[in-house]
Amino acid sequence: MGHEGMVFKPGSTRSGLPTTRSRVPRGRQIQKTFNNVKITVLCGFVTLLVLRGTIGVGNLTGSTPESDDQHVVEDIDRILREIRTDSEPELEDPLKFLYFGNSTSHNWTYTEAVEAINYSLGPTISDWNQQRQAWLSQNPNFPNQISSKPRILLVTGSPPNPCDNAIGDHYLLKSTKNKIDYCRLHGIEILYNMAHLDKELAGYWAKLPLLRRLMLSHPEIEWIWWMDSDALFTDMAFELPLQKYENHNLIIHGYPDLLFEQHSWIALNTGSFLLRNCQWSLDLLDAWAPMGPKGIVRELAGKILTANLKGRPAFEADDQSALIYLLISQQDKWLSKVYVENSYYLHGFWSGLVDKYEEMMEKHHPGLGDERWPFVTHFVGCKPCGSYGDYPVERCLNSMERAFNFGDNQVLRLYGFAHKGLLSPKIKRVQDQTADPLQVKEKLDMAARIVMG
Amino acid sequence: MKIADRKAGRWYNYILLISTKHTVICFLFLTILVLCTRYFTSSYGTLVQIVTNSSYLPIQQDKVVVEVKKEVPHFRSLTDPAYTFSPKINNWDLNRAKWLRLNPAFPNFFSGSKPRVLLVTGSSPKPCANPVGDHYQLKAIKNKMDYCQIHGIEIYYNMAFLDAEMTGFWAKLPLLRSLLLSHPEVEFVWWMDSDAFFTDMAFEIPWDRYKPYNLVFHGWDDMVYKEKSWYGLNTGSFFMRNCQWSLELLDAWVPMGPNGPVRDEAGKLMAGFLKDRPLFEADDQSVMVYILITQHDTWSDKVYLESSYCLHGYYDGIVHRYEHMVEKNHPGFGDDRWPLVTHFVGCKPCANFTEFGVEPCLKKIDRAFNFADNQVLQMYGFSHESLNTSDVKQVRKEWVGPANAPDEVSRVLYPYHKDTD
Repeated sequence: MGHEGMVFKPGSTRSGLPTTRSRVPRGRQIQKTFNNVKITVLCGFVTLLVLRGTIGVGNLTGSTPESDDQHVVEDIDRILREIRTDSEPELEDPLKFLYFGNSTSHNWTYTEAVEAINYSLGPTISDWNQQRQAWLSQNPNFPNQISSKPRILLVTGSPPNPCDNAIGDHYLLKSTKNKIDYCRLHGIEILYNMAHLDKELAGYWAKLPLLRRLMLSHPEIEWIWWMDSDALFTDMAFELPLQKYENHNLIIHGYPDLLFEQHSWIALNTGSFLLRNCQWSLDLLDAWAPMGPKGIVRELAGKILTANLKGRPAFEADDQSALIYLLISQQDKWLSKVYVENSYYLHGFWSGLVDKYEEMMEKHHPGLGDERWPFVTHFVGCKPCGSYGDYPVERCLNSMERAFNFGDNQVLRLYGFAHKGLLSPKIKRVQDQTADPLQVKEKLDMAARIVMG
Repeated sequence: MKIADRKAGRWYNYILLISTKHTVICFLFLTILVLCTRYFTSSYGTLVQIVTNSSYLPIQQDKVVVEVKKEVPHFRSLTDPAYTFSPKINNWDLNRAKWLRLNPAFPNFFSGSKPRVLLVTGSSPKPCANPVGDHYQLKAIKNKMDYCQIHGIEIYYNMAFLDAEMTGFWAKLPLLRSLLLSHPEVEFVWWMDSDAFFTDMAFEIPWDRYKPYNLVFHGWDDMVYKEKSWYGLNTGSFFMRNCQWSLELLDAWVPMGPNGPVRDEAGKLMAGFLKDRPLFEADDQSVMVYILITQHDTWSDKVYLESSYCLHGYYDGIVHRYEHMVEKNHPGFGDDRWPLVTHFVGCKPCANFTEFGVEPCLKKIDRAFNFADNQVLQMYGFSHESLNTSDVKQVRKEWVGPANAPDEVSRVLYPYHKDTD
């Protein structure tokens, strides 16, 4: 039976419609049709609207801005994935496929594993001091001292791929600027490494092959200063007291009692240390490296370190624990040339320092380098580049921004500026411009009090 | 029948009315529903939303890095006095010479003729608008650090807005002035854009050539003075001598810079005056061309337009040729055969992708970076596995010292260093 639109005809029978229809006057019919059409159009319009809003179907102009954005986002995601996954040093554990006798699995001991792997940083060199002296005398254009100050090369770096967390790259950039500023002010050379020179010693161990390679390639450099990417200079006026270290080859921040009495795994910090370019240092690196190779060696070494060092959690061997263990277990061989420095913050753990910057500016001045005005603020455990840090993200990022601006104020003051606040990227003039800028420069004292105004 | 019809009609109208009312109500309800859905469930929103919605920026965004509080900008109008650097400095050459005499520990020239150079670059103190922009800024500064370390050049990385009116490409002017006046020991400042990469690590700038000049751009005399082309020179990489002339040039350059009506109006002037220049606000490069043409007698005798090597090299004609260069040439040319600088003009690696278009350039920037990085890694016996990857491999057995380097190239990479006793 046919229905016409939504026409309701009371009293009509199932078979009655056609007959009834023929009795309706023409005008009325047209009006009814018109009304039906109107209703149909209204319904259709609503349907279209809903469909368009939810699936974007039925839009006559082609792709909507939303679906355009969606394509763009998919493209961006694909490209970012490609960039991020480029070069991940994946290494099969080389010991996985070695088997002892007839069994396919074997319970390796650390010593067995080290022997099996037989890792070395490079060909053994035993006469580096003589080679170096010879080279220096043949190349007077590359002295190891400039204006009677030994040449120092500050080395830092980060992995070659973008951080998992984009804000991490931003802080790597700021940290690099911070190091460039300090080095420019103090005549120190700087090198930024982004290459995995040795896939077996990846991660925190990557500094070992790098340090060796740099020592051998730059005989003109007297000291190599390794600095983590998460360590910031917060005293731009402090000068390293190198004269204290004439008889030492490794300068590292730490506490002798934690080291010798407590065997604590945080007795020393390998986030910022100086290594002299000499045979002793090459030997130290060779003795330090065996716990590093990724895989079974590093795991087993980790167990040894956890067992022997106080407070160390269970995880694979890290370079810091390995160095502490080495220096404790082979004290006689190494300790005489190691200077455990704590008279200034060659490494300053951030948590106790970052909240005191305003107080420091009020009471003290740059150049002290110690707890009154820390030389280095080191954001251990924050890991802004990765996905998981040991501390709340917000606290870490805020603190890093404060430390950066605290250091930056000491640079900007040379140009008459300062940050508006330690969390603000904006700056303001703190010294009026003058027609005689050189007079101002003469009076400028890097170690003078900082006034935030 | 009529009554029935009328009844039917009344019913019919009643139904129609209700239907219409219902339709309208439905329509309104559905519209609200749709709008709410769109607003709240944007789990796959645009990249900008992802970037600003937490995992990429500090949570306390407004307190940490991005200043949410927008100050109402007060733009300099066309009837206000022109922007000037103040106070005016008139005797800089004399005062600087005196300072240099009194401070022999800070010479402006090394070993006779090599000037002390300060490379100046920078970027915004706020995180980039896309997730990988800062990574490319980091690569850019590493690249500059490598070149400068080899050639004994100091770097100043700027992350501060020195002047609220001099925004964008104009920010370099107050910065350069400030650096010139604070560093009398510096003979040349070398401004370099953050999107410009060194690609010839061995090339040494021919400083002697510029003894009679105070300002050196990459460009062509014809393109500037005859053709009046707005890209006849490039202000993305140039040298400026530390002297009174440069201060006066900066004074002449700056008035068209203040953002707002002044810059807009100046933009119109540039579009009308310079060949093929589109209509947009005045940029420092167009204004420099304009000044050199209109104030030719005042400035042009001290300006050198360098085209014998790529002090600026537009990336588009270069990045696909790197493998060919490695095959046929070697570092040290600095020109088309092995460009000194590959400049990614227009790529904007720090900007919002959805606004400026999906990365056309990031992979190309990686290639330029790896091409340059290879020249550094070679000194240590390493090289990238290909220009398209950051993986490196050892290519040479360990050797000792740059002077024992088996390559001519590596020897060339140590031509100078900073200072002698």
